Amino acid sequence: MLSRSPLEQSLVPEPARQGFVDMRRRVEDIRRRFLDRLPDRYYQITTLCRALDSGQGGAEAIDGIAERAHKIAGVADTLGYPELGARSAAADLSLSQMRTARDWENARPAVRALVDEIARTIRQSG
Amino acid sequence: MRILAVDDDPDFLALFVNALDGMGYTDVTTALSGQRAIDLIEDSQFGFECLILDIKMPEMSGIDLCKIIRAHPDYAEVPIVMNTAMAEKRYIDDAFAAGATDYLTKPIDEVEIRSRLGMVQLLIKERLRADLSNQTVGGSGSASHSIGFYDSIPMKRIDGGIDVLAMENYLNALGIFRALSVIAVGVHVSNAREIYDLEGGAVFAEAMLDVATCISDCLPFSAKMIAYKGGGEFVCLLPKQRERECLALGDTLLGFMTEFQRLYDDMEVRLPVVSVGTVVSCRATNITNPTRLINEAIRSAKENEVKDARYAF
Repeated sequence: MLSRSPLEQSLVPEPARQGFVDMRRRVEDIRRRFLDRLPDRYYQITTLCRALDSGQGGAEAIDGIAERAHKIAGVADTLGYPELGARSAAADLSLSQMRTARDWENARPAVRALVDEIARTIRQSG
Repeated sequence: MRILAVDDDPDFLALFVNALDGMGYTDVTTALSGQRAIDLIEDSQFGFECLILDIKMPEMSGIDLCKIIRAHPDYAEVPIVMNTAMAEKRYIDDAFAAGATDYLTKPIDEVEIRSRLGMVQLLIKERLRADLSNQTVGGSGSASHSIGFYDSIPMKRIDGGIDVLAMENYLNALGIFRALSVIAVGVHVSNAREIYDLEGGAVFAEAMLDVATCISDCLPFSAKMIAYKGGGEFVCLLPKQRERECLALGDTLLGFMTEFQRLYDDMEVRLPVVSVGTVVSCRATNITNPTRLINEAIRSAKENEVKDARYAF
């Protein structure tokens, strides 16, 4: 049998604990983890945006932003951040429609709105 | 139901597992990458009954993973559900072509999960019942010996072959505007019942696979889906811009089927007599119900049966 990594173990509710751990508590744990990661994601996305703005970032920078937007879009709404979910989904969609780095101008407003919403969420979460 | 959920985002995976847990799906294994999923599949003692794959993953995408899993002999028929975000809708064609059975949308929608997985469970139960009945009737447990006339026949080895349920789910996934860009054509084997009664399920299944192969060869482009509905009825789903090829499908199919004539004569088996329906497009009456589009295509093929009498050998 393949053994589970610590991260995989944390994903699956342990049968012994299932009766005791409230589902909301589990979501609360995930929310805390998500919020802990948000400042890093904010920093990474803004760095990649700066690179694209200065004409230095290419496809890798676009993919990097898209990957982070995609991950936020997948969970933000479920974790109680519908605005952040909508902004990240819009940014993800805009970036997915880009053909080359030259289309960055078209995607930038959606990414900018996402960055602002991440900053607002971080501020509000204290 | 033993589920394997694959996603590279641990937050999403944790929320997803939590949601499944709340719905009573407690036997869930998770993998954070395609490679890890393959390892778990290889190592699994009892196998998984349903696989839920994220499309967008680094290194190995969910679509590539789906193809690899489908090539595994034990997983040719296991339901594979793709998890898609709005930005990935354009990958849906590729996902179904890779062998996906259905899709879920991100973020998590519990009503949707309940409904989709409910369908998956029904499918599993149906297959289990069919397997048990095969074992009871056939004794040997060989499915091909006891294929019923209306049973589905796996189309995985056919280029463009897809399960009819997956075809319906694909049509659902398209949405109204994209659905307008596809057409459906039915193919009916008018002597299907005769072949089945005379030759039995195993030969009948092989004959239907020959028909499917010929249909596939008649449509020499990648964007095609061919499903077998049972009872000698096929439906093809194609891009609207391929309508011209569809108009010639009847004649082309006749040519391809004729090539089998000698082989069938040698085996003393009747050659399938095929009729092709007219092209059916999405309209207001069938747009909200993909099954209706599929049924219309098949009905048209049956109606053409008399006209196509020249196809009888």
